[in-house]
Amino acid sequence: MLAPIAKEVMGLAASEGTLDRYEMAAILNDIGNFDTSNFKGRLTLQKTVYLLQSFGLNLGYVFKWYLHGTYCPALANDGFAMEKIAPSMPSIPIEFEAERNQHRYLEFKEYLADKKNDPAMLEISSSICYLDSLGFEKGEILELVKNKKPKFSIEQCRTAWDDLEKYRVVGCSNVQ
Amino acid sequence: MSSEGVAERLGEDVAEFVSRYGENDPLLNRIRESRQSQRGNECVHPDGRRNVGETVRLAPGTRERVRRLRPGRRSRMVNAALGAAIFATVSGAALVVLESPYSYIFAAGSAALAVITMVRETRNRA
Repeated sequence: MLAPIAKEVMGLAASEGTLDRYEMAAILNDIGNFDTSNFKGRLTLQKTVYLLQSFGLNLGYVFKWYLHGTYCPALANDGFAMEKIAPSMPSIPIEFEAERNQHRYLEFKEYLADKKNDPAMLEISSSICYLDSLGFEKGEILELVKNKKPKFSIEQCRTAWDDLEKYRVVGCSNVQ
Repeated sequence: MSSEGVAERLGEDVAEFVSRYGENDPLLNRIRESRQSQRGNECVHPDGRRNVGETVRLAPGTRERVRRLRPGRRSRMVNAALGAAIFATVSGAALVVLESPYSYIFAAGSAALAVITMVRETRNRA
């Protein structure tokens, strides 16, 4: 009963995430596309964290499929709380404890560089990752994304898939 | 699992979901079959191994830098003390100056205001 209150007061993320809100805010500041003041910003936050988790950096958020693809209510709550922290926080270099996570984080930043302010591409990419995690094949995934999100073109979907495949996020048939 | 059940798992409005996708949508069918959709997205490590449970930790140096940016316990204690001082001063003054039963209402109001201020300040920093 008291644990969630204690976590809230002590600055820990109130959700499933194991990093506290300051650590999350520091990571998002480092990535550089954190803004929950408008819908695009909130969508970008959701998709960015989903993709970061898809890269192997599990922050503990559990996502569901929603109207715009992957969505986590707990992250939405944390996002609003972090909005009060992040702007006044100086940017600090982020390093992870495990070397493989650090390597993957740098790859993620490289992957995200040209699309971090492109909510459409982030939405397509995270949807592809979600469908891939459900075990769909590439053809089915591209078709599903196109059908569920008619505003996006099949070329956009293919580009997103190719990018994710290049970074070994999708299409790993030899897993588990 | 019914479409309603799937819609709930996905966090969507049930009626809208069913009318939009119908009963035999491949995505619905796959989610029905899938046992992992509630565990969050799987994580693919550079070696291609997927992982669901393990969560990341920042390096000790980075954690220390973040810790320095966080307002400490002392700051929260100062806030609490400030709130209590405001409460004591305002309610005390009210009791002395007004000397009427209404002063108790005023004192209770100022106490509530002080508590709300303290809680909000603490939560904002959390």
